[in-house]
Amino acid sequence: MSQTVLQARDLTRHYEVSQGFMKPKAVVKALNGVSFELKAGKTLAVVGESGCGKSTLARQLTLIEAPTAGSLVLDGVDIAHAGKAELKALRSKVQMVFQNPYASLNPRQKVGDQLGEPLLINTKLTAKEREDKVKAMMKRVGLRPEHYYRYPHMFSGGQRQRIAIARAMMLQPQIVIADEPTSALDVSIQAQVLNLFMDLQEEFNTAYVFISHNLAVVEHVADDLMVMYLGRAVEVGSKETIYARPLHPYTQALLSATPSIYPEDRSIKIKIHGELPSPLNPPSGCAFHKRCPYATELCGREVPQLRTLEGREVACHHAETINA
Amino acid sequence: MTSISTAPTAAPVEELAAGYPSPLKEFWQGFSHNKGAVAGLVFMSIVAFCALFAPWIAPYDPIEQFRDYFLTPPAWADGGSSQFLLGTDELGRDILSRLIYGARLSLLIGLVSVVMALIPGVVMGLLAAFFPKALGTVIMRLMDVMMALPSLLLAVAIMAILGPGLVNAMIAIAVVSLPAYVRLTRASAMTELNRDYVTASRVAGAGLLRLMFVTVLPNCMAPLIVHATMSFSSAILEIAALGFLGLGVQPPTPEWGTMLASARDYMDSAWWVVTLPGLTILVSVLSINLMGDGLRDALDPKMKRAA
Repeated sequence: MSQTVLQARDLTRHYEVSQGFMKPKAVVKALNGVSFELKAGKTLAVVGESGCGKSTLARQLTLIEAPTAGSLVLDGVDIAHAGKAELKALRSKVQMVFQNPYASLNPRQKVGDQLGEPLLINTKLTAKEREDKVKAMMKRVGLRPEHYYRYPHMFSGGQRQRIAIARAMMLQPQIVIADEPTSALDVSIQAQVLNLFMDLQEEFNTAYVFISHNLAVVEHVADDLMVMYLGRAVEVGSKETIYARPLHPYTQALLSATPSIYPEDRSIKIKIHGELPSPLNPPSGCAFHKRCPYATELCGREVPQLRTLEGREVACHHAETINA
Repeated sequence: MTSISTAPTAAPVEELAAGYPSPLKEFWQGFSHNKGAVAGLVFMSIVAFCALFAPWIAPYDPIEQFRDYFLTPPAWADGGSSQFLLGTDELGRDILSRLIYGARLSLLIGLVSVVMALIPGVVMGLLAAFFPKALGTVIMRLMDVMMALPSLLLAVAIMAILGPGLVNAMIAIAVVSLPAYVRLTRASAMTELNRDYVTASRVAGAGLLRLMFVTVLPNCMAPLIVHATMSFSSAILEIAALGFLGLGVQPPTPEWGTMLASARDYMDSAWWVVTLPGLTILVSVLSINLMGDGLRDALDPKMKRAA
């Protein structure tokens, strides 16, 4: 059994939004009690539609923002009680790869300098040692040595994403948060980048939190899966269990919406109607009940908690009856 | 952008050995692409050379009066003499010498007041962008107050507090032009701050100073360079206005703006007295603006050819 590198307990993040002059501030519950564990060398995929709190989760995990409530234990250290120096050390253990490779590289800095920056900040290596390390990493991700002296605008999207991955890997972090790393790329490049991710994971035993809304990609890379809806996890479990038999109606709808080239894999599309409710004013009870085809009066009244069922955790009052 | 597609095929072999091209050489390559910028640089070098070696270049002492030659036209005009190439002013002083000596003060005024406004302006703008809640609000409201006052009035008020004199005049002009720099820096820094590369730098552990000056500031430079070169010229003219009110450069000292201001009575009768300093200011300002353009392009990696 591999070691747990990250443990989130009831991670919550609320934002206060001003609604205008002399009006009370509204609270956006972007992340509403999410718990999970991440093991070294494993990939946890976080799936959900836009606005469900995936990116907020990423911001909490990379320690850019402090969570409003809940605990985050990173490599055995609770970040809520960590001192400044400890936080700095922890920060280098979590790195991030962004969605848009055109925005995630500094346009005024040469690639070599950008890749060397994490080393410059966090280590005491000399300039020569840094350069050697950067060049080795560039070679590892499939960039040529002369790219060291180039600016980001001279690269294609796929190459840029390789640079971004190299930058995240420079410090050999224990955890890499990938926020939809392939969705801005060409389909032909997506596979290359994903394979690079997986090769690097094998080499450095890195744990990934892979945020995506592309379920085909998730199926390719994930070990575990967490489906989110409006700031909450609705179904958490291993990829195989959930893909084989999703229990939550939302997961079922998501999976049935994935296109497949094999006719036998094509299931009947489950349509869900309406939009994601505003996190400013979430529905009472189960957040999904307004769009759920199986909703009953109980769903509008009580918030379902995650409970273990058929080898995964699911947050639905009627999981048994729906799937009977 | 089209040239990039051809470059990589030819470049790799030599580049492997080349290593980092020296930043200076790279800068010059970018800068020399812009013909206008090079022309501006050449003209400004001449002006700077004249300013440095004024005593050896100028034909006469700039405050010496030739009482037989009041308002002599330039050498090529009717009634001009080869003794005074650009003619003399209303007090019989040689205009060429005054322009050459005047370059010293005018360049100094432009440069010092721009630098004195640019550096604090950039720092305050960055602080306002990085701490938008408390510090940012305080800084920006302060700048709004300064912008609400007419600039010359504010400059006069500052001079009234500091007392007359050249250095105080430069400080007054720098203070007056400060809000523009703060606003420009804050606006572009705030858009840059939301970009992913800033987050990436944060995640890598970059501290506040590194984020401010290494990550964000270089990406905010373009509007700042343009504004700095523009305000170089307005500084020269504002000093002239202050001098006119008796607060800046005092009369016998040669200075372009003052020369322009004091010659306005002779605009009808002796065009050269007002035209020549005006033309000098115009061409210098144009050169500086062209240089600023070139500087902006040379510092922007996107404008460069594949390295």
